[in-house]
Amino acid sequence: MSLTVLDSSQRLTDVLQNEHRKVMYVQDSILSTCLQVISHDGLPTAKNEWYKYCPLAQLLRIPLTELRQEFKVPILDATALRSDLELHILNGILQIPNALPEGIAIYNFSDPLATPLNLNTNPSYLEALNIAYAHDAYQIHILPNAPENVRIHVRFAQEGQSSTWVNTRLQLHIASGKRIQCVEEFCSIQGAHAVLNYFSDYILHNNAELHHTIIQESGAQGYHIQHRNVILNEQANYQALTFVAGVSLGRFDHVLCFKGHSASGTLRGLSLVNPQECIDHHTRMQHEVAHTQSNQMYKSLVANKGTAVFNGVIHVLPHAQKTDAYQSSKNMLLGEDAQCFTKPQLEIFANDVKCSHGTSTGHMDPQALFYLQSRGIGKKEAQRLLQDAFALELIRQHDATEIADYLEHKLNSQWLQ
Amino acid sequence: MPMTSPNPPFLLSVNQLHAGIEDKPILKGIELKIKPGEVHAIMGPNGSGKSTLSSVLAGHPQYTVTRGEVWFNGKSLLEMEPEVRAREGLFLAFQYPVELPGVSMTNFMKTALQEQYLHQEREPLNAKSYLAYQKQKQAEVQLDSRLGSRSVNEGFSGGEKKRNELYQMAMLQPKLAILDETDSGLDIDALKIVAQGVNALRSPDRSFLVITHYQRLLEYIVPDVVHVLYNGVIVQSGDAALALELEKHGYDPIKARFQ
Repeated sequence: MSLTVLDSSQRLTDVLQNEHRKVMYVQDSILSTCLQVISHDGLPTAKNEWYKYCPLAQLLRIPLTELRQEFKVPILDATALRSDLELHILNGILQIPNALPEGIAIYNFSDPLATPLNLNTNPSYLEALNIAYAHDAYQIHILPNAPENVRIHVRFAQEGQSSTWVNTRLQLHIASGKRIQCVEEFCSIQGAHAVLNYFSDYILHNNAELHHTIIQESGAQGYHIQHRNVILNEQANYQALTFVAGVSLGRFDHVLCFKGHSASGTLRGLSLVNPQECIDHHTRMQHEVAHTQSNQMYKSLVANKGTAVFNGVIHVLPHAQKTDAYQSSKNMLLGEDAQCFTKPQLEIFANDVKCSHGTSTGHMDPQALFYLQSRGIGKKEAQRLLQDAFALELIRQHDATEIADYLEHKLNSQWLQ
Repeated sequence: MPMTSPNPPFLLSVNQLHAGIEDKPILKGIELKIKPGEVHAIMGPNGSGKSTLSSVLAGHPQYTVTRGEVWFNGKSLLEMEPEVRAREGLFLAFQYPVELPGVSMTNFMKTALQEQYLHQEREPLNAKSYLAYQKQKQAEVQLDSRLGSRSVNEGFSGGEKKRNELYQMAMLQPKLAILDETDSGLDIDALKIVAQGVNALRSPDRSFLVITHYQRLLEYIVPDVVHVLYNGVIVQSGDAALALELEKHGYDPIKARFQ
């Protein structure tokens, strides 16, 4: 007998209900809203426009035996990236290996000093699940007395013998004028069927800058749902590169809300999609005030039987005149059965704006391939060179050479072999 | 099938070559023999099959060979992948060189040279001697060294692209270089520079097959043999004087005779 999505979603919540570690950190009213959404909605299916190409139902087919009470805590290898603040979030729980630098505070959401979580709209099913069954949730505050530039490296790892469903949340508050470089790096320990349902918020006060790199390199069995919400106040600047390689299913939502004039944001994304994998990026640029600027460039290399999705909304409110927004999505299909679904969505309610988009999807250019071969370069090597060039364009735009080199190394060692 | 050519004195021997694109026949029995060190020119009106011939020899996958054989340096050319043809010493200078954004010139040529050396069982160049070699060849064909550090052909002018083809030829030192309408789109000064570059690369063991629409290029690169290609076959061959004759009378007499 097959179960309906709602039934299986119920089974999922039953399992999460019995889970040992759970933290309540929101007001009762928010919690009850979340529980209502959970019992009413169930996991989004292909009938839901926003999840049309994202087979979340897969998550329900993973054997959800009781989550182990005590996870084995994964051990992270030393990293090549230097940072001023290193944080580990292992199975949803934060560990801080070293002393905090001056001007940085970290709280649990349940801490009285923490900023309470506010929801402007009803949460989605996944967010409701994240809140109601949180392993924990954390806030990082970059205070006015912090150094001008801080490099943060957050490493996430999941480990579980059967399946592990981890709900965790991170919020980063950046005081005016601070310039932060933040790397979020995700890895699953091999052989673990880990599901990460991760929500994060980034609040950039006036003139704050966040250079954000998201690196995804799970084992082949990783399932990732990540939702990032960025608030930009006056003249704040946000730059992100999301590098995804090797997740069974990855859903990445990235929302930028431009709330102060002259705020600007750039999203770049590079997806390396292996066979049977699906990587789904949904972005939303919410231009709420005048004179703001957004830029998006997403690329994917899709192996045979892999699926890449890009859905990008540019939403310009009536008062957001002089908005300048650009979006591009380029996809290279590497097999007859590689799939790509890309959809720009412009919702413009102001009359003096500059918004444009472009998209291209296709196989590797046979002329380019022949040109390389005609110089004695073997077909495999020629394909590698062309993929490398396609992917490196985005990586090379990263303003931190150290991180660009790190990603280039990952690209070469994990993909272009 | 014999594995060595029956005609060793020829570097290239094309026998009864028929080829086309999809179901459309374009080459209808090409006969062409080139000895080491010779410069042959192929002329002919538009649509006669000149560019198809160069593409088929280089192994472009778009074309299908239906009949005939090609011997190159004693080996059967048509059985080789395009990259093997190149490593064996065949070079095609493209009429329209392809732009490869993100592929650096250095990486491109280094990879090509490494694969060629590996194929020829030669000791690969180390980084230092590669750079010295690259510098020497750029100087030889007067390629701006700034172009050498950019992406392959990206944003190059027409003349720069053609000179870049020459540079690649100089780097790879082929036995046979096919120049596919290298003169097209060049002004007279650029043409002279390209011709000088080709002449500098002429040697007793390097042959050229110059494909051109006009006689002009042949004033600077003087051929040993001129062939006229029309409707997929070589209808006439002669010495350099034939090119002048064609320049004078155009292709109409040829068309009238072989229609």
